[in-house]
Amino acid sequence: MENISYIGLSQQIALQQQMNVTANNVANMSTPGFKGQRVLFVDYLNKGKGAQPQDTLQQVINYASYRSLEQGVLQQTGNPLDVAIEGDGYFAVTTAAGRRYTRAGNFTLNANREIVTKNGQPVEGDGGGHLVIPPEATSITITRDGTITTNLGDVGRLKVTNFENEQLLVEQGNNLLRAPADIVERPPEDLRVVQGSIEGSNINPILEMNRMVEVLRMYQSTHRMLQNDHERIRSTIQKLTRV
Amino acid sequence: MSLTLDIGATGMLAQQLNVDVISNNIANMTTTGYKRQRAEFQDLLYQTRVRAGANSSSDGTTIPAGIQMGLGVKAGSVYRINEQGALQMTGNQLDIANKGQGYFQITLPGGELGYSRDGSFQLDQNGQMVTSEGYLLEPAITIPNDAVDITINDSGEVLVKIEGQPALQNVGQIQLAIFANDAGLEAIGDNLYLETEASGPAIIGNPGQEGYGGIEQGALESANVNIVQEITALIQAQRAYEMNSKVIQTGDEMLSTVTNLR
Repeated sequence: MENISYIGLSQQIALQQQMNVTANNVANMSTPGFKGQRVLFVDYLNKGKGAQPQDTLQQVINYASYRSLEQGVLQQTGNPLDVAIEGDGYFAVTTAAGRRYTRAGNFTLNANREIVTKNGQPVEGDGGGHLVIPPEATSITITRDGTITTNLGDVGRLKVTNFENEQLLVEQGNNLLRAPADIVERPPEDLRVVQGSIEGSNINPILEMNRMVEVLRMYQSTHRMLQNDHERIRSTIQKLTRV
Repeated sequence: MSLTLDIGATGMLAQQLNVDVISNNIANMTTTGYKRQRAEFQDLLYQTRVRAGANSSSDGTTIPAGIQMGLGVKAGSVYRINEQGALQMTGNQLDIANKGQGYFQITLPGGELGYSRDGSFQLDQNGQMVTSEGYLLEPAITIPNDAVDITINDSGEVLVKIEGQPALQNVGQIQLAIFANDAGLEAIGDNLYLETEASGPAIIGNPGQEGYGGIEQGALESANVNIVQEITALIQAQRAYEMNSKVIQTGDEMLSTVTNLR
């Protein structure tokens, strides 16, 4: 009897979640290296009491959220320690909880002259160690393959890793991603590190605004459907009880 | 549901900070030695609704991507970009500009040392070189009363010509301080910075040495604010602010739909 309400409810819950994801995308429009999230809905077959196929209900559930891996726009900053990856790959960062990955290349130096993220976590070099800029160095050059050179010689190379399935990386906040244990690393093909730029988020504001309007209208039409169903049941009860 | 409203609010707060930083840059467009700042953002923590890799059936199939819901954005840091500002010729003998790395050392009223890129010095009643606030340059340099001409060379030596003497007289040496991490200095206003733990201790040297900038007399370092860049950033920040407000509006409309459900 309440089947329509349940189907409508499942859609409204899914739409609310999609709205939350869209809101998060818009809020992070100017977060460096941020990758927009998408939601994946599937139908969930709920077999009714009867064995007949027509008794089966199809409800909506939010099955998964995934990251859009599109390249973000490179923004020129002119800062020598701002680096962006064009194409695939992630920078490796040492945190208290272990190695994390990031696309946000807005690095800086700490008091030990190590290259660190804006949260002070050291960026890893190719060999696994941290990258230290000598105090007397006056200029820093980072080449296309991630090699860091100062006027006093080579410092090391930024570690850039790619994965067989990047979607397995889990968002941690603070622009960091965590790799699960079973992920397969592989070197990025055709690595291009760009110095003096940071990768902006890959959020397309027009698409997000569109999606938002779409979610709102769908939400409202589901609401109308629920209301119609409510009216239907009420009139049924009124007619049936008018004996 | 109110998640949408909260996330939209974090977005608006972040863009507000962005506009604050940009307006400070524009306001200091003509401040001597000013270094522009940039607000940087980070995504907030995530809620995991469905964990990736969880078993989706007894056959051992796993969920390829879970459900991770972001909770908005926060300001990560406001970063100072220590790019060299353009030199502006003034012709004033006591205006000096640093053409590379390093800060002038200034003795603050409490005896503490402050650091500055602003080289618009003047003389006080004792003939000592002071900033426009009257704070002493460190090491102190006294210009004799009978000096008719002051020359400050590239390596920071202050030479004066005294009436009746053929040779120039060296009255002092300007020194510069460099830091392991300039960005870690604490700005205290009046074009001054303080040393912090993040900046590392000051390393003192003479101008023109390896790693230290040279001195240019009769010039001042202008702010490194690029006005076109700032205005573009301002437009972007304002639009982002508006879009976040639209998010809140949409969330509100959805909520009002719910309240009208019956």
